[in-house]
This record gives sequence, C-alpha cells and structure tokens, in this order.
Amino acid sequence: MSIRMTSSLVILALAFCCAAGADARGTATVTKSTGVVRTYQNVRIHLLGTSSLRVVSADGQGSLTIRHAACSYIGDLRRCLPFEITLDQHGAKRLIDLERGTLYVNTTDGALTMPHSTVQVPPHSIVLGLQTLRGTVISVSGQVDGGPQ
Amino acid sequence: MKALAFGLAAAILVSAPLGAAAQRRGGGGGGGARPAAAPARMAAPQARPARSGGFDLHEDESAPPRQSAPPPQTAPRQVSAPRQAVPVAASRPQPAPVAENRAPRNASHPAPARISRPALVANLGYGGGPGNHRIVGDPRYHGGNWGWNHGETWNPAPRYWGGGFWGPWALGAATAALFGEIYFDNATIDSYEVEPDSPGAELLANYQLTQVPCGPPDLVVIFGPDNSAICADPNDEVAAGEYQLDPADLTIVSLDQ
Repeated sequence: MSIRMTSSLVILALAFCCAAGADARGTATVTKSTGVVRTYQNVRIHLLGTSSLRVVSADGQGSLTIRHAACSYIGDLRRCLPFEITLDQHGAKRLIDLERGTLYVNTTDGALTMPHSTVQVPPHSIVLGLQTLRGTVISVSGQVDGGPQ
Repeated sequence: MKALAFGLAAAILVSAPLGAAAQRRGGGGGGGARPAAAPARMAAPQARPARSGGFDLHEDESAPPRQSAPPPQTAPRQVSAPRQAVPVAASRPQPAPVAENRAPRNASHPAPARISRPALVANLGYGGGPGNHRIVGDPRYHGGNWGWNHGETWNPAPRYWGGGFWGPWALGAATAALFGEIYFDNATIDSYEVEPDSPGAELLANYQLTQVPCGPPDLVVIFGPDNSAICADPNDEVAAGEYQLDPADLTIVSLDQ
C-alpha cells in the first residue's frame, strides 16, 4: 500500500471519528476540482428502500437523490454502486453528471470495518463517495435518519 | 481542518477500489496495463463555508435534456437466471462501451480468442434456458437464488463494467486494469481485472478459478452481466470453454454444443 494510500486512509479515519461524534445526522462535503471545499453539516440521510438514498441539506433547500444498484455484501457491510444523482433544488430537478462512486451501508447495530482499511462505519450509518465527470468529489457520511440514536 | 480531512477522505473513498486492485497485482504476469490513477483531487483544498440554499453543485449538473429526447434509461436492469422467462431482447448483452480514457493496452497481450457466434447467440440472452448445455453448479454455494447475496437480488448498475458484478469499475474511467479481450460478433469485448471483494471474486473463489488475461485459447471464458467477460485457467471443476453466468445462484452454463 502506497504512502499516499495509507495517509489518506488515516485522514479518512480522522474524518469519521470527528463526524460521528458531532451529531446524529450527517456531513456532506463537496470538493471541486479547483480545490474549493464546501462542507454541509447536519444533512439528513434517508434510505429510500434498497435502491435509493436521499441527502437533504440542513436548511431543507436542497436534496440529492442517489440511485444505486449492484449491491453486494462484504461481511455484513452492504456496498452499492451509485449510477444516478438528482439534485432537487430551487424548484428544479437536475441530474448530476456522475462518473462513479461507492456507497457503504451499515444496517447492523455494531460498527463494521470498511474493506482494505481500518475505518469503521458506525451502526446504522452510511459512507458515500462520488465523483462527477467534472472531477467534483462528493462525500457523505453519517447516521441514517430513523435509525437508533 | 475538518473540511480538509473530508476532502481528502472523499478522494480516497472513490479511489479505494483502485488501490485494492493494485495491491492484489504484482506477480500476476501478463496482466493488462496498469490503470491510470483515479482523478481524485489531492491538492490542498481551500476550505470555504458552505453557502446557504442547498448544495453547490451547479457546475456538475447535466445539460437540460432536449424536449424531444426520450427520458434517460437509468433503472437498473433486472438480471434473471437463465432458466427464468425474461424477454431475451431486453437483456441480451450489447457490445461493451469502449472506455474513453482507459489504460493503454499492453503490447504483450496475446491475440484475442475468437468465440463462435452461433453458440453465443443462442445462449447469451438471459432466459434462453440452458437447453442441453451443461450446468456447472457452484461447488461451494448451495443456498438457492441470491443466497450468496444475503437473499437480496443483485441488479447491475449502469455505468459500470459488467454492471458492477466484477468490481466497481466505471466505464470510461480507466480505473480497472485491462485483462485481455475477446472477439464476439465482430466486436471486441474488453476484460478487466476482477476486484477482490466483488461478487465476481466470490464466483472465482467458489470455483477455485484464477483469472488470467483473455486471449489465449483453451481458457475458461465466463460471460457475465452487461456483455462482460472474464477468463480463467481451467481446473478440475471447470473445463476450458465458454460459459454464461447465472448471477442468481452463481452457476455457470456451458455454451459449448
């Protein structure tokens, strides 16, 4: 494993420990290809059945609906592949040009470790990473709404 | 600081499968060209407070669809077992899209094997039924349909090679290592390396198959979802030949007449 990979995983672990303790909701981060980062605290995360996920901004004015498929399990950790993102905002729904991504869902009552890392996904939480065709990286993590507090 | 950490964390999250695959490589020999690094942005980000009013993703929106254009087909295509009655036309694999910026092919790749069209056309569509073809049952798994996936139906995801069965390799993203190719119906089907934690990896493990680059003759060729194919060395369980995967129970059906 490269140094870059290792250091990134450490950062990922740090991010998760901070995010998990902050609140029962989630945190979304949008990193533009220019390097500009925008962080959205207290987003609400809703699982819509087994094939969609919705992330709603704290102010309720924007929501991202992520459709995913190809769900499989690594142990008890569910991993799915997002294939469509819709941004519902300012009265309009627009598709986001998605390139790829990975969604991890932990529906169990215990923390689960992500593959190839020591990072743990807390109970009833998700970890989502997306990359758009423009190179924007979107990450979302946090507890699923409706899960045990 | 938190924003910085998240930005970098997101970058590694989308590129993590690449690292996993790269880690598995090494003594493979004859593998495809090493994939290009995921275009994750690792430059030091400039943290800014989020603007109010939802998410700042305007630049990433798709162009508005034309009025006359049909709605995009985005629903995951249901993969059915070959023995189930499903319209063949709807599920017949199409030529795989060519990755726009995929890793260049390794000059050392052997010439692609030519698969006979009659055998494949008669069988590649799900629902065609095995007929007289030999079914190789998964030697390790006997849990019924989808039992290997916690009872959950596995549906292919658009945008990913093989619907994501072989790993989270996005088409056109050059994140997977090219692992040979085969010709089918005057088209080339590229094959890529199977990701270790994927359903495809479970399939290989169950049959104790070792993936090798497609191209040489006398290999096990397994056709998977969305016109994907992988190759492996034959063993005591699986003889050389062409097979169609049934993702429901991970059986493979011989296409040889």
